[in-house]
Amino acid sequence: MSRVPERWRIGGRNSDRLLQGLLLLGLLGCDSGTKSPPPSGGNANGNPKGAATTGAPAEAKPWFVDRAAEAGFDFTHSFGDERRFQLPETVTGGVALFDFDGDGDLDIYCVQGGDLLANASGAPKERGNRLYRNDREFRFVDVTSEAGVGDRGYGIGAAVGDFDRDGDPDLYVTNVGANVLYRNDGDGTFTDVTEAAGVGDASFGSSATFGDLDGDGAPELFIANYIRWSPETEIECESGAGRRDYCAPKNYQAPAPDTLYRNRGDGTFEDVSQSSGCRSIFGNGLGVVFADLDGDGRRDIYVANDGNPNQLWRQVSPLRFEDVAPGQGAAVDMNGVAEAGMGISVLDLDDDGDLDLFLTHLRGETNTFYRNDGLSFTDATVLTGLAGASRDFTGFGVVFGDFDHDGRSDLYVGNGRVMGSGSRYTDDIYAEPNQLFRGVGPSQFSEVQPRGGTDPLLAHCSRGVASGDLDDDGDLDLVVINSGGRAYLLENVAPKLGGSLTVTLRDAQGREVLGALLKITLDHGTAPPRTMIRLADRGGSFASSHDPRVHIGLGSAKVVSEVIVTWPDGVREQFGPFASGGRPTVRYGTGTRLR
Amino acid sequence: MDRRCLVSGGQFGSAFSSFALLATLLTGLTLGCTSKTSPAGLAPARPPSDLAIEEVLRAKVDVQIAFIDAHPADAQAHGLLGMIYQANEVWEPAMRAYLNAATLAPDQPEWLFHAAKCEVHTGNSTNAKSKFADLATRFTEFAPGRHRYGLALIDDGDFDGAERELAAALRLKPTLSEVHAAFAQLRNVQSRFAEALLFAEKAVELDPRSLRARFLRGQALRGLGRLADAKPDLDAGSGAAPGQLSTRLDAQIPGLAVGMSVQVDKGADLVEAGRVDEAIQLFRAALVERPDHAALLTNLAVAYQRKGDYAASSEILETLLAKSPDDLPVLLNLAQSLMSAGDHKRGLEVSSHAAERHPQSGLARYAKGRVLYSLSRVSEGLAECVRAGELEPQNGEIQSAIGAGYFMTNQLDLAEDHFRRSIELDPRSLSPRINLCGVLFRLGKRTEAEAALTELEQLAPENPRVKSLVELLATTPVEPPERDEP
Repeated sequence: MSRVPERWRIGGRNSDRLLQGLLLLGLLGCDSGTKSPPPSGGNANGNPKGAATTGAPAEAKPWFVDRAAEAGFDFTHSFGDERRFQLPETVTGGVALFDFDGDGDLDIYCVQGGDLLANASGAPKERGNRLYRNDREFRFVDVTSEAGVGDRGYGIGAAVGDFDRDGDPDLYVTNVGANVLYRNDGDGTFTDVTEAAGVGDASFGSSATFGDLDGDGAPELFIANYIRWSPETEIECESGAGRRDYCAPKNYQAPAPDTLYRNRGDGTFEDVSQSSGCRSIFGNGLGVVFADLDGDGRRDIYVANDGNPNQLWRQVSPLRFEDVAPGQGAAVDMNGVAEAGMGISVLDLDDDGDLDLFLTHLRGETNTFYRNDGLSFTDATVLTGLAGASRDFTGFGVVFGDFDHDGRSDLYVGNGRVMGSGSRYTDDIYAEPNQLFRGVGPSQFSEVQPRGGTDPLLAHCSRGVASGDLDDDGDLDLVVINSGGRAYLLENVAPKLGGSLTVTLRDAQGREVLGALLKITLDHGTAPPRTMIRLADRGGSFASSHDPRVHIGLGSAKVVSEVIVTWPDGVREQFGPFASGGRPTVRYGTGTRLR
Repeated sequence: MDRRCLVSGGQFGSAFSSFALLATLLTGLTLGCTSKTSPAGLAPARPPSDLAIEEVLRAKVDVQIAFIDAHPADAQAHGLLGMIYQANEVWEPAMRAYLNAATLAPDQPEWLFHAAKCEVHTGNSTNAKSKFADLATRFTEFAPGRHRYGLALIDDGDFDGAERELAAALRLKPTLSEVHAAFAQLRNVQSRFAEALLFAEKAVELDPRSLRARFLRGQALRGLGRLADAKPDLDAGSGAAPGQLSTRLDAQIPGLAVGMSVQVDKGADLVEAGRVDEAIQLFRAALVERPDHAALLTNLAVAYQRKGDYAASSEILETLLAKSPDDLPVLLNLAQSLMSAGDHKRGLEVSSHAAERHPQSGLARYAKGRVLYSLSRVSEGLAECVRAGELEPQNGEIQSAIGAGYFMTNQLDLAEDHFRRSIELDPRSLSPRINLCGVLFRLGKRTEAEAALTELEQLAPENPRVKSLVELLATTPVEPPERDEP
């Protein structure tokens, strides 16, 4: 389905039909089958039952304050010197939070767009990506030049992982064109090792993620690629009234195959996209996560596609994948619509012990909750209170976190249009306010007021969103990249309803561990204990990378009685108890081993 | 001021004669329109000053606004302005115009319904839902409103409310597939799959072409654990559009599209629907204002192609090609028209040029491959199609063409593989399924052929080629094929 029904194109949508006309004439004298009808308008929807759109007094206090200006975090994103209605302008702008210098706090890496035509002509781009060092107490300093990470490609997103297993986090940047791998040299600087590592995928990368898929301890790298695009293949689109606008991705009829690199463990990668089966089908990829979705001990891959059915790559044997999304109900929404997948989160949203999926989508569609029912998935969005609340917005970045420490995951969604129609919030017709939802029960949410959790309302065209405890005060803060505008640095000031626990995971050598699953039991004293499942990972959201430490709010619990970690190799260990406010580091092999 | 009826005719001066036809279109809304006293007149909904709209649309809007300025209490005139805006996808002014009409004609639910629909497009679905709720309360017999509000309540998770609204819609429109489909949707989200299946079955029965109904049936079957039964429906129904009931206005609104972009779209819709003559008429009328509009001309050429007038199609496309020698859609469609007209030599020239100028286009390779097939240069054609398949690995038609090439070169196992891949990529396309049956039949795989044919029959029971295949399989003994070297 095209992004919105009102779209058309001069050379685009109608070209679809021209080409379709060509293709419809079957071979061997056969008839053609039925085709999808053109999309019609979506159904009307309101806010979810219980959604507080007018602001209950208890929720009237802001949860976040934008500290960007006073913190020296001055990143201003550019999609180009002017709006040229070229497709990459709609998706540029990821962010990564990671401790690049090993000083114990989170630094911020921002991905810059730039000027597509300038890049095409070889002219230097004035603005490049930016790395901001955290000097604590919400002071950030631009250290891009010293660190050597100011890639000037037309940037889309960033992923973080310790690909060479030397103990410090490395950085991967997706671009329109060749991607870049920066090896962290451990002294505050990076080296571009793209060529040596063999990971310079030259497609149109969007989200990427690192994770050990084959159990050898070295993280693989997956890149969701968007469209086979170049300035020469750009097409013109207009709104119904004749105003120039961006084209829907399906107009290009050119989904780009995704890429999977196997980590050889020697600092180089092997492209296993074909042999793994991950290129047997693909769409307009924008989001990707790794997670063991079927509980068989192997991590699977889920790819969100913009306007095509999503893929759930079940890992059937080491680095061999089969797409089971269509049969398992994770490809399209409850109406059969292939929605415009942008961002993803994977978490146990309904507290039933398995991992569910949450995807952000285009205005007119819902942000969609695919509930893991064991053998299949169900689009259970209408049960969450998030269906109607999301239909008026185009969601990209997405973060689940317990911002108010009440023991329930809350939800923050970065919104921003890809087409300039609809009610205006600012002079920028692509701007929308972001949204914040408070978790009020298992997979139940209520929108927080003021909208987006800030006062005044912030409305820009948001893309990448990443979470982490930037000021090391025990709660989750946010960084939001806004297309064509300044970024937000959102300090969490939410009234807290309990303490918190932040768990860092390390392997036996003290290196970061991604992909471990934590079963956390909260001790509520006289009330029955409560368990929750959390995944330690950096991936998810849109084109962004989170702080991998596992943060939980304790609500009324004073103690975390135990944390059972299922490590990526399947070993299970018990740790704890931990007191509220603790920030333990749990290390592989040091807990009580469980069968 | 009394409301005026468009059918009275006298209100339209010569300046507004272009709307005479529309007056008759709106007849259905004028019943009883003199029965009540309306509020004082309202100012017309003008487009925002900074909204860029095409001149042809602005002119149309200006005429209607001028009429409303003269007749500010005329509900139908306001409504017509809303319809013009909606037809041309200018949603916010459309919503305001409809609201004016609804204010002036409070007994006509269509205006408020369309105001709400337009408001959804502006990104204010909360307000839209309030309007749907208002409609459902005030116009209990207005099925589109009850149905739409019911869907909105499903979104809210208010299943009791949805049940109430959809039951009302079902009472009012018991033979509409979409109402049953909505109930199937509700039952599916309630995990009441057995009931969902009954509703979905009924929806399919009432409209066998409804992809949404098929998908919902597949969901119900999957919920019941009948995964194998579910798969054909889930495959067939994936990509369905959300359902809604139409009003009397809906049939008229497309006729008010005047913006060039919408005209192109509308014409393309007509071509897709097989209403080729209407499309040609529409494109020709639009070309009067924009004789050089490339998209209009290209679509007109496609319409002629569909009509079988390959000469007219080729002439237009050759003209376009002279201006833009490397335009891929023009090249591809010209190659198609030339090939259909039997001019394979020129077809090969054009498709070769397309492949040369667009080396990464799988469609260009595919076009060339097909021309080569037509010239009986099957091996060369197959090579082009294989290359096309590498460039466009997810194009089911190309996979089918590769299968055809292997079939023609008697490489039946490979043909089978590619037809199967084509079906996997495009489960709704009949060509590869029919071809697969033929290949399996020739390979002596009778059981598999019968299974494939059973699926085909389910998809297209009335298709003559399917029927002939059924007869063929029933009457012909199966013998293993001769396996010539290609």
